[in-house]
Amino acid sequence: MLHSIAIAILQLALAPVYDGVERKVRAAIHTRIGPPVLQTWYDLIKLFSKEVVIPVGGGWYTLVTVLEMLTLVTASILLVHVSTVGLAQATIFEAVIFIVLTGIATTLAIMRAVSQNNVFSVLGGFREFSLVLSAEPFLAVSLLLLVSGVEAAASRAIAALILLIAAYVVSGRVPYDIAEAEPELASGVNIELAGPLLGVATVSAVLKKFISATLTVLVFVLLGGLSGLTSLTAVALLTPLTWITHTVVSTLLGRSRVDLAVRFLYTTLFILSSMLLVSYGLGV
Amino acid sequence: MKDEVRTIVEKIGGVVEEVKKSEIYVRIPQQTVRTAARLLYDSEAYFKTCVGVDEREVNGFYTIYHIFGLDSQGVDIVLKVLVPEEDPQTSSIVSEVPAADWCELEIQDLLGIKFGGRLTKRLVLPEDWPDGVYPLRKEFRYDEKPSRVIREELHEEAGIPVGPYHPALHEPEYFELYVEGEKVVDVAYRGFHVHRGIEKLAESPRFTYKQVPFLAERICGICGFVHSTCYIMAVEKAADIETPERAEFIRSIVLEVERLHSHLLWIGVAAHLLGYDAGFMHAWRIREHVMVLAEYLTGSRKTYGINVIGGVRKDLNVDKIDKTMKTIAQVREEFKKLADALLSIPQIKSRAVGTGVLTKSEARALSVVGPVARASGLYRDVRKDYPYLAYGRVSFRVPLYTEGDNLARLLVRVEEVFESIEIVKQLVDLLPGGSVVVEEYDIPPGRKAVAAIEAPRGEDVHFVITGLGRPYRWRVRAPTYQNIPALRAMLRGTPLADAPLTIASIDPCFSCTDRVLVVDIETGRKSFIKLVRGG
Repeated sequence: MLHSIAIAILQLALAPVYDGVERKVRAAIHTRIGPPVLQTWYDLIKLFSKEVVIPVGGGWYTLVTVLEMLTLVTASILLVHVSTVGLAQATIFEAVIFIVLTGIATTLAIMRAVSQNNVFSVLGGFREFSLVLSAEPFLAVSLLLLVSGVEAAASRAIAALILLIAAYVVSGRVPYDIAEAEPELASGVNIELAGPLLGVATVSAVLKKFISATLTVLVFVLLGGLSGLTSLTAVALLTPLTWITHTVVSTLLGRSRVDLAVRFLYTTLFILSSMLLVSYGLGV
Repeated sequence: MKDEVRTIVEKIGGVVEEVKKSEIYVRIPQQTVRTAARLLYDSEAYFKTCVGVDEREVNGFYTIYHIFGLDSQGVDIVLKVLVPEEDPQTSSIVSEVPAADWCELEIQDLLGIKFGGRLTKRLVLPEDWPDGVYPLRKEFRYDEKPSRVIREELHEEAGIPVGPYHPALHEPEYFELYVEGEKVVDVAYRGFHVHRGIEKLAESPRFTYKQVPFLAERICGICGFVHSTCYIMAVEKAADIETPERAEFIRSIVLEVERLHSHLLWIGVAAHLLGYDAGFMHAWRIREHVMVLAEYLTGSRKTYGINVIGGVRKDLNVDKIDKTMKTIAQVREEFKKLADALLSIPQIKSRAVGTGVLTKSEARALSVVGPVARASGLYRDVRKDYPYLAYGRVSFRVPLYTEGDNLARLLVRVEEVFESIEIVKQLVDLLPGGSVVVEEYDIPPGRKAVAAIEAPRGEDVHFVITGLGRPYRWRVRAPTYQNIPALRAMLRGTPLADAPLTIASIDPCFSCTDRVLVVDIETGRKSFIKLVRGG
């Protein structure tokens, strides 16, 4: 476990760099130069060097914001640990813990948003809640099914597809960045944040992208039958590539609307889940 | 005068004071103004604006000019109503012509004429402006600063505030959205935060006829050339100045260049509001070609400064013509790819279809202009209805949609980019020889003229009464002024997420709209007085 934590620390230190690469890739598609790849690190250093500004809500608000980040850090470490053995070797217990951690992090994020006396923040919180309801339950089911060691090819493929879609939603990118939606809600859930607290929220946002990319890679590792060192190597190499793929997808799309997003996700994931249920029942 | 127009004028009654090629001035008694307005409205006339003028030193009255446009005949009918100094009130026409709402309130604020038979409220003046001080009266000096009046604050909080500073708004305006869940059920609006005293300033001794075009060009940072051209056209019409044909072609070319960069700017902003930042960046990248062309043609990327009364200050040579043709060909090719990509993004279509709907009847009642009108099924384009400059010499299509939603307004502008490119091509091909300016002319006082130009956002109207050395009265009615009142109808029932897009869909230019007074708005207040109530 110790070496997993060491690898996790290295991976987490690289996550802001991946985010910097994302900004560079997006800029390239935009025909811009873009900021340096270390810009996210520079941003974090700057934000944490600023004075602490506590918004309305006081200590409770601060606690929730920090707890959200710590929960995501724990979930990320768990994910990196799983990557050292491969998703096929992960236990149901580890999967459940991961699902609970991400669920707690999402709940904290929503609590943070709706506890503010700011209509944009509250609206963002409700949007986050709607998205979570339409994606994370499906993510949980598909993850548990894959970890449970189901062998049927069709079931594995459908579960993997559900997981890939839900993992992308977790990343909070376009078209599912509706909780923040800068031009609509003036940053929505983050509107009251500044200085170190904004830094904490930024770390959380980067970690969500990290979890999204790593989870996606783990699905391919599972389907590829990799485990142990090969799994770890694959995750280390493919995570930034997946991150960039997510970036390209998000750059080529527009922002959805909460009703459209929920309808699309719920319809798509519900149909896929129904197919999964049938294929699992038939053992194919 | 055409027979159809004559029939309408005879029905109006009153005294026909002046008949010009495209304007007819009819003086009518106050008592019949409402009937006359109804008659014009029923005759398919659109309401352009009303103008209050302090003409006491000329004829002993305040005068109100209601300008109606008979688009189908290409003629403006101007109703002139005299209001006595000792009892400055008259009948409102809002019950017959809803589009007259704002200009009546503006006249009340700035000239102190009361309108009977309607709800009144302060529209233009800030809340700390003293009562009984009317800045467009001649005795009010252009640089006068009346003392501020601190009023009791009316603090009400209800809806979702959008503005005066908001990521979706690039100028200070305030919308308060009332929502049920994520659906907008009503909207309150407060504008006119940044008045700049332009109309009053032009009447002041600081300005002359020749200087006002440079002032007019600063009304707007995007369509400034429209304003300077429209002012100049009004003065030239009033003074019967014949502009060289080559100058008219050059003005038309620059106007279309301005439309191109304005539409490309807007399309970029719309893409950004819909979260498609790649579209935003590429629209503005393509726009940059147009900006460079504008600089090559005029010497400036914006605020060209080439317009003078009697013509233009810059001619086109072979190099400029060559550069123009190459640039618009490149813009066409690159924009085609962008438009195809933009319209294939699923989120763009799904969010723009059926949102921000303005029905044809609502559009007609409010006399909306430009792409907003054309997207709601109104065939209105000044270039076709009142051909001016060189537009009568070129052929082009007016994009028309009937859906009235955000997608329709987007499609109108996308198609207009291609039409503008074709217009520029034709104008360059047909460019006549000769001089580009007349140096000698006379502008007699007491003449009146209405000029209109199809700006990127719609019909821009300038009304001028000539004075000695400078305009006696200059009225600017920007297209956004006419379109903002339609937002209430457009926003009702629209998802909150699409409210910024809907507001942006009229391509609002608040600097064009807020152009009237010098105001210090630093009141230090945290609340505001509502001017338009939701509900």
